Amino acid sequence: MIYLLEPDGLEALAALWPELTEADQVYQTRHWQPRLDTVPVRQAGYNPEIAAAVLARWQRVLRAEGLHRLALAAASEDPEVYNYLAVFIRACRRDGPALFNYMQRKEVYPLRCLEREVQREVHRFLGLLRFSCSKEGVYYAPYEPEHDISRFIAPHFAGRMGEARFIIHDLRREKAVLYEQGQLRLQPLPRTFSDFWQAEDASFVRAWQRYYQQAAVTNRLNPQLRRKNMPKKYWAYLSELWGAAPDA
Amino acid sequence: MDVVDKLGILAAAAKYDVSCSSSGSTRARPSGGLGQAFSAGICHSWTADGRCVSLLKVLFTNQCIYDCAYCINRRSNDIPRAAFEPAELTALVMGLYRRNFIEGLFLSSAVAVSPDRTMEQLWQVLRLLRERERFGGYIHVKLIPGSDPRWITIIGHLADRLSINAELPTEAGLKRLAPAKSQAITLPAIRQIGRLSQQLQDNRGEPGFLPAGQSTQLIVGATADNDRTILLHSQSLYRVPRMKRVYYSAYVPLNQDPRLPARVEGGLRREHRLYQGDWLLRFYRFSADELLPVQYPDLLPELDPKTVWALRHPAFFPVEINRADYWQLLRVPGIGPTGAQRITAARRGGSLKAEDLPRLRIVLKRARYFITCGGRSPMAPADPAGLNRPDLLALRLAAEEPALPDRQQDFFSLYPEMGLLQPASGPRQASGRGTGQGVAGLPDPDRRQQEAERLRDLFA
Ligand code: SF4
Repeated sequence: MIYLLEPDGLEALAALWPELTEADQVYQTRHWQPRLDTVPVRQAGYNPEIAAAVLARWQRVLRAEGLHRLALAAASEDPEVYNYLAVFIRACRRDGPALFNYMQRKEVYPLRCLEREVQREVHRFLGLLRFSCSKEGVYYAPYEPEHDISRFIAPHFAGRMGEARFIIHDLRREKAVLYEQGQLRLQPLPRTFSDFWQAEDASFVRAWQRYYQQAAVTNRLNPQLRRKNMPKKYWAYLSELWGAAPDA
Repeated sequence: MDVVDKLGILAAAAKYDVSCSSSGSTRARPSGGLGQAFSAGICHSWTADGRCVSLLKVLFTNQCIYDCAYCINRRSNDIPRAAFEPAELTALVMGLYRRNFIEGLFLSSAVAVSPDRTMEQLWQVLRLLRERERFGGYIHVKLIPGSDPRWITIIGHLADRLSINAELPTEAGLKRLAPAKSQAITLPAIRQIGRLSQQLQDNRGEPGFLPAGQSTQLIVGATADNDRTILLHSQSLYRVPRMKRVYYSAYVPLNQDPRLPARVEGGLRREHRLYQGDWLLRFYRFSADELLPVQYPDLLPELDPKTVWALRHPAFFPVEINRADYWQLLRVPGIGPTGAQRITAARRGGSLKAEDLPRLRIVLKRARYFITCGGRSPMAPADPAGLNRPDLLALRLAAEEPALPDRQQDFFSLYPEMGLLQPASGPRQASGRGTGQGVAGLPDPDRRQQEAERLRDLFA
């Protein structure tokens, strides 16, 4: 059987887990491309209580840190992510959380690659997210990450922004994390929201751009190194690069 | 002059300091305040030369009463000068931090009026940030040489890291080039920072005092000191409590001064090798004596210091991946702390074969000459014979070295206003000890030949 999942994240797989067998495959609905073979395809349902119970069971085996690592991998856009997760979770019954270390094994390596890729993007965006401030004092950061990482980066900003209200908007997935009165909330937000956003902080952007230009040593330009650390796909929202030469 | 213009001048003047790290401190957001420090450090951008931007690195002022030979800000240079007001710098830091442009502030200064007067100005900025704004982000402060030692206690309660630049490894060098920074001034300050932060942490459990410890910086190439002298000095600095980093900065002739060398040995390549040596001191349990014995007092431009050590100690190898302990693994060229940890953890799940190592992200290209997996060497059948001879292996490994920076950091591009001070003619570039670059950056065949002969002699 091929199961298709509508909701995102590890919870979606957890909700399906009791009925999943080793022979089954699982895909996100948006990743699924109909095939010519005869394997039956079924849209999976979602029951939050089953998901919570299964997640609690996994946590008992893998502890909170292990569960967090699975959740990171589950945020990957790789179409095979749920199948890698299923294989790993089954193998965990024998080895427990130590399995994460056995990267030489085929049931571990693909999952560790995804976890690393997502973790890397999470860490990158702790620095690369750019907020602008409205007249009302709300901070807004639009971005388009490769993976579905908003829920992983939001607590970091809640920790540092204090009383300030903010919105982290994933334009690619049209959803946002809202932070207000100490509470984080994940909700859909259309891409067009960013077109209507009015920022009131030109003077800080000007200072930031001047600082950024000054920080570079012009006789040591190294565009490859910059692109390696800060891939071009992220540049559109980086205010220090607005107006930079396109081939920079 | 508006604050953005001041920022332009005082950010350019601060580039002289190489440190920009925001790591090593965990500071929770003060209640009702803004910001926190994240122990792993965060890069917020990368400049066009590929370096990480984490902190707003500025001088408070570039007006200086001293005249250190190598320094751009020295009193006798005719350059644009500026100074922040504490309140305007505070507002700038808060505004940039709120927008997630920076992780905090790196605040240094030239010495305006007197060392104590300058420290007082820096303290004003810190008080405004920590007390009025309740700012919890990362702050690194440079201690002004010659200021009252009590500033260490005062600033230490407000900043995450405090540093004072040792600048040169010998007193003779300092006397000649920077008399204001004699070792009699800098070393006691470095020791006192260490002593105080250790005491406060141990006795009172006060982790709030300089949670990210201290660091320092050495200029490389402005004096004739060899690499052994420099690394021995770093080793002794690392024995000071809470010394987290020694930074190395390749000296560039900025000023015309008879005390300064006309030619600079080594440039960025030497700086890079010193960082590698430094890393080996800190994380690999190498000693400076092991890396640079008296008879070989300089790091080789052609090979990294761990590979050189390995080639000089063939009896230590091969190391068996399935049995060697963590510290033995760390001595293998191509295996670093993360790789060694992965190996020791992974082999609990079953014996490792050579083909497993790439999955643990071990770079076999370098390591394969020095290891066995289950008693078998992972050398490819296509590898030429004779690689058990250190001289031949040295040549091969040198040829496989990744490209290294050869160009001297050009401080005239940091300080365009200094164009007038540079010599009218003559090479501005480093003589490039081991540079190996010919016209248009292509390897110079003669130089290559010389390098090969040198390596053969060294490891024969
Ligand atoms: S005291 Fe510092 S700023 Fe002043 S000249 Fe010496 S090195 Fe430069």
